[in-house]
Amino acid sequence: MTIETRFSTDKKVCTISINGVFDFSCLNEFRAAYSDNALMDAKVIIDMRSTATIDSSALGMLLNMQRFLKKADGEISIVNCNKVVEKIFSITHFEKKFSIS
Amino acid sequence: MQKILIVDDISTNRLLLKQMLMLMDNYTIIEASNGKEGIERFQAEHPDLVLMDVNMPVMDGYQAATAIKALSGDRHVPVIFITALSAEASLKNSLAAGGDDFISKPFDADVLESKIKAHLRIRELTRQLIEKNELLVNHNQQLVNEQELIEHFFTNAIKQSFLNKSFIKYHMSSLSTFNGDILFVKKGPEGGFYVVMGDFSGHGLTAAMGTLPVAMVFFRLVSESAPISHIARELNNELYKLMPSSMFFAATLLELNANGDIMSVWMGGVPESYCFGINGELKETIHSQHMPLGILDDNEFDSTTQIITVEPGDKIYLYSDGVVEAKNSEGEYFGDESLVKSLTSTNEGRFEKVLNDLKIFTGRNEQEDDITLVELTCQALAAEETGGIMTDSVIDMLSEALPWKISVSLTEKEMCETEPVNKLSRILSSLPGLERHKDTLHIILSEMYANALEHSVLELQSESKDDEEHFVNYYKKRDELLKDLQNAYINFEFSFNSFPGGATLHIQMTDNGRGFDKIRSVTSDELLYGRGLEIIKSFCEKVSFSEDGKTLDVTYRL
Repeated sequence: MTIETRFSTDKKVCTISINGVFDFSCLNEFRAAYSDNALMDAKVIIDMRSTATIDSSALGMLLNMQRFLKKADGEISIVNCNKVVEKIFSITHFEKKFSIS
Repeated sequence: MQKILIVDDISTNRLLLKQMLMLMDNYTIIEASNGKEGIERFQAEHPDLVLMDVNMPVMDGYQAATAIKALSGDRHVPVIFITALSAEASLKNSLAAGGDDFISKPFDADVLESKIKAHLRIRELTRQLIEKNELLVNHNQQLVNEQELIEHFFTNAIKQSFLNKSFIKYHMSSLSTFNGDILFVKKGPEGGFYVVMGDFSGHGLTAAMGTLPVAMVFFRLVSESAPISHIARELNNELYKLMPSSMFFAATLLELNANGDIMSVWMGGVPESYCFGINGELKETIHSQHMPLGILDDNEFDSTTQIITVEPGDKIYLYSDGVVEAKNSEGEYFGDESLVKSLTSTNEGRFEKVLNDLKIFTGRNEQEDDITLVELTCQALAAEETGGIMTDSVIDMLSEALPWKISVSLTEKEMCETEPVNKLSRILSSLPGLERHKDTLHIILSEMYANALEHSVLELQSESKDDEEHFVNYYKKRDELLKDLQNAYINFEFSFNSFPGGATLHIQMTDNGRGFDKIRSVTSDELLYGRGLEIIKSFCEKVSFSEDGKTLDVTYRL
């Protein structure tokens, strides 16, 4: 389980990639990834291409991040979800808070 | 031992010649008394040289010489005429009949010897030449055959590449010869596309050998939708292991996301790439930040990628150093400046313009060696709908499978260890028919387990997850309670049952906690809790609690 944070060359976009299983064991690592003031002004993208699965605590962590960064609904994008992860987001209506693709 | 055929109708002449020859060297001597017999002896004995009288009964020497030359074909068998005629006329007639030389009667031993030696030497040299030629022809044929086989490998290896799409224009020096230049493009499983473009150090087949591992690694990882940094690292490892230390692979690895607005790039040992906006402005020059692939070992390797924001319609230009290193007749290089000038000179047909400028500069129409130029147009590219189609064979396999049961008992010892759920789902997904449900089963199990552990065994309150601080405290408390846990268990029983047209996996989970009796559902998306059950329900056909919430039964359709 690794989380990588990367800014675009112009610092306008920040991509957080989550590799492996995204569950409560990532709590501290994930918090550390988004607790950076530079993210307040950037467009934040969560890249889930390498995320195998998520659990309900991961959903909580995503909501916490949105609150911490004071982002409006839909401002944070979650991209490259696999079918299972996509289904979890749709069951839990996460598309109301995040733009999911 | 060399054989010499003497053709003469007068036996004393033959005897004389024979004696002279035997004094010279250890030749095998064969004799014939006229042209016709000479031809017969020639066919039977394959002599290395023929001494031929001119005037003979039955068939004269000229006729016989012509026939013998025709029979020899590619082999060179010198025919020397024995003649009493004047030198000038003899030479002319001898050569006209296909002879190689003549000796006048009466014979001078020294002249005879030197002529025979000289002609045998020529014969030997010709023989060697023919032999080497045959060897070369064989080698060449073998090479052609091998190239055909290798081409087959290459074609299969790069078959997955799609270069005929609207978003990519490219020019590469002839693909049929193996030149070590590579361009692969593949659509990502989640949409978007991946590109690898590069060239191996060196030329020819050796350089092209690297194409195979690059194709294997690239296509496999793209199908797993791996990030560029991961692809770079894997390619580097593979090439580092395989290639001799003098070889490396200078490459650009690029991925455009499904929306067509974010590009990840890893560049090692290649010239700059350029990004042009819709209005023709040069938006960004992307510099190579790394050493080529295959040089550094894994510890030294830097897989950092550059993230570039782009807009749909932006055009990206990648090229091999062959473009800037193209020379004109004066030996001057095309150079970076000319390339940028050429790129910025127009917004329409920029790709064609560059190729044309290059052609004008080099003044050559024929093959531009090792030149690769690629134009990518950024655009949104959605994933293809593949869906989880159940094939008939999968259904057959499932419905014919034997029923089974597995019980797993987790005590506080296993609960304290990290991720007992991971171990459970690994066991399950190794069973036939369950592999393809690995991720879903993992989710179901994690949510079931979390419910039982946190709410029934540890008696934690979901409500306490309501904001970030509580959320963190909740998990802190969970860890603390877990450490002091005694005499707890959570048992799982998995039963697999098949029926015509499918199969189900039934999971019964029982714990000895206080039970989970509040069956809630999400009423507001603001809630940070209570989603677990909702998730289980959405994946399973039946979900029911019993024994005051100490037992949870779910049925999952495979």
